[in-house]
Amino acid sequence: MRNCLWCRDTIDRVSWGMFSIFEEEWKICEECKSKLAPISGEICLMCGRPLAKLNHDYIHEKKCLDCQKWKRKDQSNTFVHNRSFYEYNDFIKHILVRYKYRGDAEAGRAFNSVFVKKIRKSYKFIDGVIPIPLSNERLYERGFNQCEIWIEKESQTLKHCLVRTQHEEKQSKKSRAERINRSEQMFQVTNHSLISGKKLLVIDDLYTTGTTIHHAAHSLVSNGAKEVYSLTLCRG
Amino acid sequence: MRFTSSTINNRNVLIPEGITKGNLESYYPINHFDLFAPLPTTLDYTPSHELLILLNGRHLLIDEIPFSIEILHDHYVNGYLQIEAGIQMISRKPTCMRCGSIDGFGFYPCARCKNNACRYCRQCIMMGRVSACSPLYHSPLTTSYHPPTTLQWNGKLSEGQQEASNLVKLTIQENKKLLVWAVCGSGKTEVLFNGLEAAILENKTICIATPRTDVVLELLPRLRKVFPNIDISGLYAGSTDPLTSFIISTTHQLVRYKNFFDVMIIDEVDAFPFEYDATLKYAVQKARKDCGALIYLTATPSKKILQQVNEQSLPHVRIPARFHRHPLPIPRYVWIGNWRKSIQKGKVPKLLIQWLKIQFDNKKPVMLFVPSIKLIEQLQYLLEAVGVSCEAVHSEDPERVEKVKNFRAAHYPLLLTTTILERGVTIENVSVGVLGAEAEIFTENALVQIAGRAGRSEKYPDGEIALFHFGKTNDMVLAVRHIKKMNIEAERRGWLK
Repeated sequence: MRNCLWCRDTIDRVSWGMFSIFEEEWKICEECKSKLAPISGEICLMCGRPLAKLNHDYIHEKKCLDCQKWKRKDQSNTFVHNRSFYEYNDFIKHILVRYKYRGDAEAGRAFNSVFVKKIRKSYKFIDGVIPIPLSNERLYERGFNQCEIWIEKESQTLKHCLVRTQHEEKQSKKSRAERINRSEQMFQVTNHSLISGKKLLVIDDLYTTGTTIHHAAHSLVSNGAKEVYSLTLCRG
Repeated sequence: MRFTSSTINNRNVLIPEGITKGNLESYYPINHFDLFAPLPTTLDYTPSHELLILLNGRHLLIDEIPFSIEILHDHYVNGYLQIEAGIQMISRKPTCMRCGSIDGFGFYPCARCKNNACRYCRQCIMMGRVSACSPLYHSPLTTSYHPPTTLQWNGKLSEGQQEASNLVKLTIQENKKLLVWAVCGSGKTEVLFNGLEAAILENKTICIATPRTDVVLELLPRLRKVFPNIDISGLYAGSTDPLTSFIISTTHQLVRYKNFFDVMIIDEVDAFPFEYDATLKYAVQKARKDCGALIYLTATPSKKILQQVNEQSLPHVRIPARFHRHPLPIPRYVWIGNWRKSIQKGKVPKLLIQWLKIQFDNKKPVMLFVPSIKLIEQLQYLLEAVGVSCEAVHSEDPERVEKVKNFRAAHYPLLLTTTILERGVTIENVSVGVLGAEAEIFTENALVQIAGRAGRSEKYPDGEIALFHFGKTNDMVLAVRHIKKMNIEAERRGWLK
């Protein structure tokens, strides 16, 4: 008898997941799986958000208004695009709270297989995978980096080449304007040789305004990276 | 966290990383060290009053203590604090020292102890993570003080209550154990009053623990009213009361105490899922002083508790009669055929509709218990289609409290519910129905509790309880027998009108 990693209900039904090589897949019950909202259908070619829910006025050439703004701000074209697995709903929010703030690493590990599969399938051309780092204080407080766990079995992971420059307030506690228009450096590259001329994939938990990802991409590119892609668990 | 060991005055002391600049190689996670004997208290050291109050009787993670590691370390070295590893090997099994869990651990690469697979407890994770490298802090010196006060209550106990009340008081004074087996509606809370008064006069630390926050919130004003000078704190997830020597707590929160309570009263011991038994037992054992009194209150003791009674290791007292001296209403069996099939076909069973009509005609509100959330949804839809207005509640319903309140205020005549409302709800003149009483979830104890909703008020002591079933089960028969037995006992003792 097994228990669902999230709701603790017993999983007794035989399912196809049991034959999967990714053990995470058979640790979540069908009921919980059904509460996730995978992103499907047409998406913004830049940020990966589902376009179906967006007003037509905000879409131009399959790109959302937010991304057009980002484009104008950053002309270098070096941040290629973001893709996300799930829409940010109450259920996944609840799972992320448990994972990040309560520190239940196993609850988040359930997503390892989606990341690994996606990286192997769609990002073969990537030279290195970089989890968005936490500041040292935040890392000590939480005990682990939530993005690092998702790719813990990925051999191309580049740790310690990107660091957070300071311990700042949580993104989630700031207003939208504050987040987009921040001027100070959020990240610093500590090992140029590791990223120079490379195509990189950045991993984060949530893409909301895109500030974190764009700042990371900017730091990486201005320190020699060739192209930067990003993959996040949710699109807020 | 990582520590290194050192010797001060011939005693082994743990020093946390960051306090001194030592050789990094000699730092290890706290669980690397064997338990050291507690350090003796230095009398010429002046401890922080705030810290001692915060830690009084508590068993906390460093993240729960808003003091710097330097201050904590000073208090530890001077014997005002003890530390231990959060997860330790007990009889060769890794054990969470906070909640007592021995399985369901997880692992993570830990930034605090640098271990790539640091073990942590998933059982109590919602209260903050206990890892193998987490120090748990505890103060060995506890204080308790109540202003001298007497009970402010003029009510009169029934004979049954009086007998139990005397025993409760004696149990508290002699630090023993007792089970109070009191039928639904007998007035359990009043039975505690005299014993609590005695405990307060002796400056004892008191905890009343109950599985649900609703019950904590209901008990608090009642006890504050009868002990107006005493600082009673409510403790539940999200509570903000400062903690005193008299706590009304959810059982979950007990894991944050260690060796503190002289008097431990557990309300509704049997209201937990079976798997939770071991954790609860551990938490109660840990929070209570070894020599403290332990009192269980329930209308439906579990088999495990009854076994202790039969083995005579747990003294008990029964209150078989309600405070209003009327007998408990006996449930009626109503065979209703294959009701699941009719619901699937989109029909509400005829007998059920007829019964509901009779209750409504007699102006009685109705609680209808249903085996599952899914059935509730289907049934609500079908009932509304035939013009019966009703509301439905279940455990995952965020508006539960509000809905029950509206039902009590007679905003609608029918409330559909799962077993979540089997306890603690008192609705005047209510009629109770159980649809599918044969379902596994309706155990003997659940049915006794459900039946206990009816006839609770002095004004309407007779209540209607109908068990709609598709084949009688043992549990149904046992529940009815249980209730009848209580009535016979009450009659025999002359406690009925």
